[in-house]
Amino acid sequence: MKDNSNIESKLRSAVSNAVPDVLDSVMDACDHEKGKVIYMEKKKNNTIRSLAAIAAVFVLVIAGIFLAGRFQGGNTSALAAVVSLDVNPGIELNVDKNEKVISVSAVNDDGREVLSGMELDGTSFDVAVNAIIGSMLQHGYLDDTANSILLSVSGVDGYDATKLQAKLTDNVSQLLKDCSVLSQNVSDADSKLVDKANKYGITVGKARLIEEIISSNSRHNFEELVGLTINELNLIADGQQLPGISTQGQASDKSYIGNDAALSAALTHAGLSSNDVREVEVDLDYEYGMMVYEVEFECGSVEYEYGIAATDGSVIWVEDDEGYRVRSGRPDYMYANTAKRAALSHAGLTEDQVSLLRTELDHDDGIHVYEVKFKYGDYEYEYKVDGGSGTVIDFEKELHH
Amino acid sequence: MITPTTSSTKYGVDDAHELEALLARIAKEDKAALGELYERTKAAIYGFALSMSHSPADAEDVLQDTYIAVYSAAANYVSRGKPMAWLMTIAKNLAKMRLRAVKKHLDIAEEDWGRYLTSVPDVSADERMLLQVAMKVLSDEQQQIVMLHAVAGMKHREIARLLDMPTATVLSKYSRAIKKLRIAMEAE
Repeated sequence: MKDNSNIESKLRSAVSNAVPDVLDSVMDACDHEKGKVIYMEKKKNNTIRSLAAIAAVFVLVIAGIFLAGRFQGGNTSALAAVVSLDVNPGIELNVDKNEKVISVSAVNDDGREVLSGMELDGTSFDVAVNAIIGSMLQHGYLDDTANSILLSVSGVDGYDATKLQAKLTDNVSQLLKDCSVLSQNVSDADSKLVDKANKYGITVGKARLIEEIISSNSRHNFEELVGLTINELNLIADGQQLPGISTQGQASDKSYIGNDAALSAALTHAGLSSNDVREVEVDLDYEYGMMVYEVEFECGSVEYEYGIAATDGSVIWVEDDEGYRVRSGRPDYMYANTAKRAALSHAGLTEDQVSLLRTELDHDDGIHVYEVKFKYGDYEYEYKVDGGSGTVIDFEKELHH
Repeated sequence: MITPTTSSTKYGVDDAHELEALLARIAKEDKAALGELYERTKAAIYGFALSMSHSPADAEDVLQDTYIAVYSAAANYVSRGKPMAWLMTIAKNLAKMRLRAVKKHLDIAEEDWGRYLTSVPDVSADERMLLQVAMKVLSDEQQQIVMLHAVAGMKHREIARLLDMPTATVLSKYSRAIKKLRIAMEAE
């Protein structure tokens, strides 16, 4: 044994001969394992059919009721309350103290579609609400994949809208049995909230819901959430008691793969099985412009955290040792940050201590390799760092003249 | 001087394209492809598992669990031309978990190892001695690096990434380990 290649090949041969044969048990276990992982389970549901049936009934009765409403001569009287219905269509009704509808308006295009062809002015409030919900069902805005509706009432000039809110909530909850009904009184909304609602073209009620979600989860900002449907907001708010908002029923996650499949996807990626892990937590959230399951679990002393795309179970990110999110869909700046941090930590310096700090992408074999350069004292540092793992590949420290 | 590992048809571990093709087939639940991958990489995985876990029983479990994990995770493999590094990452994580769970005592593990090697008819007396010496004289990290480079055919840079240490460290640890092993073998 005179040289390395000799000892290397002897080792190869020795290990190769020493390998126990486990192929049969691998094959057996794979049959078992594969059955456990289920993605994109197609769920048949009866709710959608029953909702469609409700919609059909509404369509039949509404025409007659409108005419009746007209004849009852709903006249212009003083505005007592503003009521909004949000699903994704957003609709506002102005109501007088006798619960007659003074006027109805849509705040977005979906709302206009729902209201098209309907004349609700002068009808009774109950009838108008029934008609709007019927139309939402008919147009497919409420179904078993998006079942959340937000009801907001606001008393005008001291009008107490509490009773109206309770009645409305009862009425809608009975109509939409398998739906999730969120209800709130926004009489105390300040001008800032109203301005915000106007700015983004949403109801004051939806603006309040978004504000409450943000104050319970500061990772989000208003702009990011403003385009979401009530069902999506309801899913994000899941499990949190939002002040001033009562919630009945569960938001539907049927558009998504579900908690179990999200966990499976993360475990598969981690090369673990459900028996290996504990402290499992799965939450649906909105990140990087999409719905994402945040999956957390522990295995031994290692904590894992994943972001799994809610629609197809693909891995969006996984947290590394230092809490950085890595892998597919990861924005480049995150890699750069990891690289920068690794280089500074390797040098034993902080960002404040160094000058002329530069981080440049230097793709290498499809890996996010970064060149990190900085000056400290009389020295110039130059690093090559893998931005995915934060591994320092190469570094130089030179005396600068 | 470190000799770079050359491509070897027998172990086949350097042929990234072929391994990736196998992974693509495994992603479609092709069991034959899993069998082929197993035959071509088992020595590499086992050697590394052994260096991570010290006990033949644990290494055997890690070997088995690695292929089970590969079977269910193959669809997630992103082609970067480094299938071996991907396999090793899975093996490493599984071995780490096992290590934490059992916390084996080294002395006992060494005895186990000797007993195990004696029980395998394919291992010659020379090979048995080499493996026993390797397990005895090399540190954990040295064992891992030697297994990954000499047996699995991984590049030093890939090993550096896998074990999260600078490439220069891997290079120096490797050359020290081989030297140590050679001296120990000559003394036997």
